[in-house]
Amino acid sequence: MRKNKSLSVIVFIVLLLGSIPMILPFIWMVSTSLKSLSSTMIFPPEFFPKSPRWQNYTELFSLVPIKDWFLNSIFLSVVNSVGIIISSLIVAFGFVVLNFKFKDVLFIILLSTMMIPFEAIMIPQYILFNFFGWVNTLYPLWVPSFFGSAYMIFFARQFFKTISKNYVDAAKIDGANYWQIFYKIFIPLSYPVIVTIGLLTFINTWNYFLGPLIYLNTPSKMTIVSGLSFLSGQAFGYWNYIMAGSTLTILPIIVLFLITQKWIISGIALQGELK
Amino acid sequence: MNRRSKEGLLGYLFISPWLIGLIVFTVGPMVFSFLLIFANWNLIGPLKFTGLQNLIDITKSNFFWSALRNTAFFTLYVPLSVFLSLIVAVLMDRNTHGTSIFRLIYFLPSVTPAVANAAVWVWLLQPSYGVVDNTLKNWFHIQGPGWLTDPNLYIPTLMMISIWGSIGYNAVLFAAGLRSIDKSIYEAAQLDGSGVISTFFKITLPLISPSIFFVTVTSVIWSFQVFDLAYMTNSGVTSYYNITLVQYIYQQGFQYFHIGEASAAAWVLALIIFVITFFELQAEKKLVFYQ
Repeated sequence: MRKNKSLSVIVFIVLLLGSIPMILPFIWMVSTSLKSLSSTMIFPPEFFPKSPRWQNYTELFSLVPIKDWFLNSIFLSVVNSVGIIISSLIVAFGFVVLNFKFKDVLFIILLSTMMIPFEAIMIPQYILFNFFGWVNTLYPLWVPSFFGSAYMIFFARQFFKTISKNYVDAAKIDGANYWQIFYKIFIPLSYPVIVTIGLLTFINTWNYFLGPLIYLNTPSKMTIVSGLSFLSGQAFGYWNYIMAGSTLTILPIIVLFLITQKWIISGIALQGELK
Repeated sequence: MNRRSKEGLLGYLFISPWLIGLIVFTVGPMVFSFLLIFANWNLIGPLKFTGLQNLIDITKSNFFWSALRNTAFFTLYVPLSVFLSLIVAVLMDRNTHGTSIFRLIYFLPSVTPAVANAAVWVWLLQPSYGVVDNTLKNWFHIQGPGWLTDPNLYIPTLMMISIWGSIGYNAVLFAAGLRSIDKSIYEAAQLDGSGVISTFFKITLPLISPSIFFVTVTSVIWSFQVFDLAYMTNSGVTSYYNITLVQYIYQQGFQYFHIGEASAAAWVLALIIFVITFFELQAEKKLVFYQ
């Protein structure tokens, strides 16, 4: 089949045609972000503005606290990644290496919590965090990450199960305790799974909307995504500013994705295979 | 203390972060949320138990039913997306040039925030002066329909945007399934004179049925939870009857402070997802072919 040249030409052309509607919205986003308001609506559309209006971006920075949004999003994405990596690896290690009462039952509970939608518990969680005085702070959006994520625990466990039991036994004979086995043997071997969990968590946190929408009210406290939603309400009709905000929101994620593509794609592909 | 019970204690120590989180952030809130179904509360005043009143109220609420209907209708994008993603995955598997660039382009909308994706689509689909309507008007002399403003077209438009946003992600999952197929099976089929089409239907499709199943079920579950896209496209522009289920929960809970009704609707959502998951486990045994 691979020798069939005309077939591979057709395949290439179909993929090429299909990729146009996939990429066009992003080109339009960046293009609009560099236009004056009046030229956003002219037809035929200008995909590459002749005199790009870069000041849209500088004006955006004085219009909304976008610098704060960036810092908040970076903080949350980094802290959530660190929190989920640490907690999920520790818990997964417990489930794989140690034996304790009700281990199997607890693991089934862990699996079943994966299907509880966040929306089902978001109201009582809000009430709880409100009781802590955490509304309009970033705490509700990162503290829970240090208690593990069922999904990532499962992910790490599947990986840990491939590590030979012989390592554990040998380390025990050498007098190592479980904590030492964890960070001297398991952690160094888990580099790929750590990177994948970290990247997926970083992206999910960056893109997360519902949580920041509920908890953060003051503009300067918002994340870049909830801020973008705020901006599109405030600047409705000023598409050049909204698209400049959108471009800034997606840019870090695209750069991160370009650098770490291989990890992210193989991490996602692995999710399907783990089932 | 003997070795065994010491190990048991250590085991609990290692899983304690999850165990504490489970009680504080999941089980506790779930129990509380279940109790709230039977209560009347606005977060500030006193909490009053009102029996089944909230359930009666939501079953009488047109907003709730249209939210449920809209969400169920919206999930129909999943089979379309699965079908198109499968085509993209098969084509990419066959493609010889520029596959990594194609994968990047198709995957892009899956990795960028849904809020930003929605923002650009709202702009593209602006009535009359958006680029889509402008193109239709100037080149084809067609008056663009109210993509996001016509109540009948609103959900189909969201479906279209979601297909765009999910093809790349699903195709990556299918591509992994395709790669795991033993190539010698294809060679054997070729020797038997099987054509491209019949090889696809008789060999490829059954062998990646586990991936298809996984993608379909997880996508249906996600689509029941659609929020970002609906929130961004529907803030005041379209009628309130065009909300989705999570939007209904959000509005009732965080805009009107009808905590009881919001909790009841949240449990309906959870129940739907439990039921889907249950049927998934049942159907998986019958429908899916494991290599």
